[in-house]
Amino acid sequence: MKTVVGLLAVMANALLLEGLSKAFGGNRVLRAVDLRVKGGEIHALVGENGSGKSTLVKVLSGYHAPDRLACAQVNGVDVRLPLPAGAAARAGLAFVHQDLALIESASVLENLFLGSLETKLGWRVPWRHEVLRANNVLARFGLGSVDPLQVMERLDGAERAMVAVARAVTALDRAERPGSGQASRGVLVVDEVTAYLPEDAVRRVLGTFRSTADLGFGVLFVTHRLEEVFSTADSVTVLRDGAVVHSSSVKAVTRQELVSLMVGRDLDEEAEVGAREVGAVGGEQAALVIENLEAGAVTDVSIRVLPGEVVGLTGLVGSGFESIPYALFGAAPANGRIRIGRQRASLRGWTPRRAMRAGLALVPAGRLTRGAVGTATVGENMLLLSARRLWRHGFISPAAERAAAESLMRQFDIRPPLSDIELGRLSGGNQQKAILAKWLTSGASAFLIHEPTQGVDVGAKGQILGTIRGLGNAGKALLVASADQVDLARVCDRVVVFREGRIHSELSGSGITEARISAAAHGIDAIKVKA
Amino acid sequence: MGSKSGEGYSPRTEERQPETAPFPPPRGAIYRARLRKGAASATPRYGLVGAWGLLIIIFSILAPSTFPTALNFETMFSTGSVLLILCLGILPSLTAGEIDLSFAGIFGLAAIIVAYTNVNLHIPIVVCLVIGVTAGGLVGVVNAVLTVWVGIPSLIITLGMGSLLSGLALGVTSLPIAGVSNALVAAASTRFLGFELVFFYAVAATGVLWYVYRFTPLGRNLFFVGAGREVARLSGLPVRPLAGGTLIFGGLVAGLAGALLVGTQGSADPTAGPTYLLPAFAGAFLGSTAITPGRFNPLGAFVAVFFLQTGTQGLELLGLSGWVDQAFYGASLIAAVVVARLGRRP
Repeated sequence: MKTVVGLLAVMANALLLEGLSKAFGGNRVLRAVDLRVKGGEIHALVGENGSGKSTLVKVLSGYHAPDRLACAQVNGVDVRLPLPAGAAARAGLAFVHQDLALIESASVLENLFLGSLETKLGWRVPWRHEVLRANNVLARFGLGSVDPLQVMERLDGAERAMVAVARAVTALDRAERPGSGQASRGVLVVDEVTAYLPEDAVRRVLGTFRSTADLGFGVLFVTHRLEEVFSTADSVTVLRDGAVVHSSSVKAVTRQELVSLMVGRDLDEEAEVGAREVGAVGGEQAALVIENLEAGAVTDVSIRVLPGEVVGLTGLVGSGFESIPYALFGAAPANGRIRIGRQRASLRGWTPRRAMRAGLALVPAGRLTRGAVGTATVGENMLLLSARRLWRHGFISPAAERAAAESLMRQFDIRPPLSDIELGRLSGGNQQKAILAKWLTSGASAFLIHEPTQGVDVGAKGQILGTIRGLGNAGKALLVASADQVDLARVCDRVVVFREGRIHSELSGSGITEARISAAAHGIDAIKVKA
Repeated sequence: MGSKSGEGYSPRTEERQPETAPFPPPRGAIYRARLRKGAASATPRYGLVGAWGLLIIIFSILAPSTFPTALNFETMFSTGSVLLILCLGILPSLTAGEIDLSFAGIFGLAAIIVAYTNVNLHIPIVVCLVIGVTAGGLVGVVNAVLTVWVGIPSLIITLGMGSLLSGLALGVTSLPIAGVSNALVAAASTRFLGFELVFFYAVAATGVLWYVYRFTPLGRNLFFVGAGREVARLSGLPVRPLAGGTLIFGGLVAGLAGALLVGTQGSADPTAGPTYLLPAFAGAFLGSTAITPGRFNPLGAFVAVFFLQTGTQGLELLGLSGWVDQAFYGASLIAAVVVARLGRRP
């Protein structure tokens, strides 16, 4: 239901960015980006991982400073980026990030009006008045049934996101801005808030965007889910490799076109996503069999991995593939059955120790938080699992340790080859190699790897992927869960693509290309891809 | 299965690898790098030993007639030994990332138990020892269960436990219990080569712990449990038994130390326990700046405890008494933690 202000706002630009460029070192992340969000419109920003979407949001929110920016205006008023902390609302910008930043133990009302509670003389808060105000705000955003005095942690995912949106808009409303009383009222920037929410929740959250836009605000929302773009947005901008490749009304573009715009580099052939081939490779004894896995966000997952095979798991953020390695290792609760070699077990009550004894290895994301200890030496980390083997005659001989460490460092080409410096001092790629080396010493037959090249520079990426391939050639079975579709296309024999918690399709052999993986992740069944 | 190996390295998407020294580097280069690293790190590693020596020199100059005497050193090493054993008892729990504040309470109560059962209940001293140490172990078990399995932070649980036990000790008796069996006194304070036996027990304990830390998988695993508990869990280490075990170990050692204290004094004082809390922590933290900087270690604790003992004893010989001890321990603890933090890479 549009308000008068809302109708007036349609003409004005809520947000105008021209010529925004940003580079990190030699890496150009944003190239002369132009963006225009009108008041009263919902504008979607889409792009693949690494396209620059999140950097754009971070520049807007003041986390990064732009290298070059020809013009930045909110409500027609020039703003200087980066904005200092706290100045965003005053400038007319409000943000809702994926981490909603709500206080679980406080009430809905306190969360809503954090920082903008009305006070009377002596800082007294007129609570009854505030409750009425909260009810009004909640009703406006479709949360009329929520009690403002309810504790935040009782609300479900959808309500939480909706409260976060309501809070941001309220803060915008109350902030004093130069030239207020203008037609457009500010910009709400929403970053990937719906990624982990179920369908019906998403619909409700999208409803709040509509309510916000009807009030006259411009809404810029970043998303992976193209359904949302077509169901809710008025306009869409596509980023690819840091540049804007398309910007138009949503009606002027189809879903297939969007995907090919998002992905479309180096591809000049027509391609079809391969049909599902689970279980097609029979005969050989599988090294790893997963049956009816149910964990985290995924259900009904069954996969077979042969010795020497590298199988990739991927999908959009929130599709659930990222929980699989941890579930299989017993690091997260799961249901289902697993078979490693000849050993069978149920995943209920599965623990890392049992997984290791059965021959599994887990290389988690988060190198220094879950994969290895940064303050321990390279040698200590690498030899953690072989300490028992080195313990002869009641001693772990330092010489034997050093020899074992040096042999591993040579094998994995870890530089610098000093085993008694702290692991944290190595580069990301070398740290990752050291962690892979550690698991090699455990004698595992199947490796579960999550985001192997995260935070690793380009040169080392190839080495890590080469190491993974080498492990496969040595007869190990490898399951690589990664959102980096370029990597998967380089190293995997098969790629299983997940969508919304289930297996969507499987690609194999020469059918594995980044474009096809991406298309499958977005649910496109057949695409024509142009250069 | 190797079909992808060729396609894996498409040159168009890969940058050239930076040129580095040939691999593997010649043995000489590695050796020289180690030597350089060794020289650079000798100062922080043995700084505390140097500081200790300096302290001895300073006090010898300031109190030339009383400090640099055989009697003084013998007293110093004997008094410090019980503290060192206590300190070694909490070292594993600190390494595993737990904080045990109850050891002083266990220590004090165990001393009272040993003395009371021996003097008032006329139970043979060996049995009293067993009772005392077992009591310490049982408290350790309670600490372990509540911390590791129920999940309450060890700091809180042991704080309460320590206070509870100190109170119990006073509840048993408000006055010291004297007249403990001569066998215990002999076992603790008979002199050998000028030092009381308890000093040799402390040296042996240091040696055993050093061996475990340096040469056994257990020592390695404990370090990982403390430095990265999630990493340890995901590497299949039995995190809970290890962490809980260190608390039980601490309880047993505190009980033993209590018995040894009774042996050195010939009596048990219900107010003695809590006065060992800060010095033991000071010793552990100060020790973590030496030998293997940044990590709790037995040799460092050894040097630290006797450094502290030298300090307080010297100050007493200079006529400053009572309050100086606490000030010195407190200042050393602060200095140790600050130095350790600054010494870590910025």
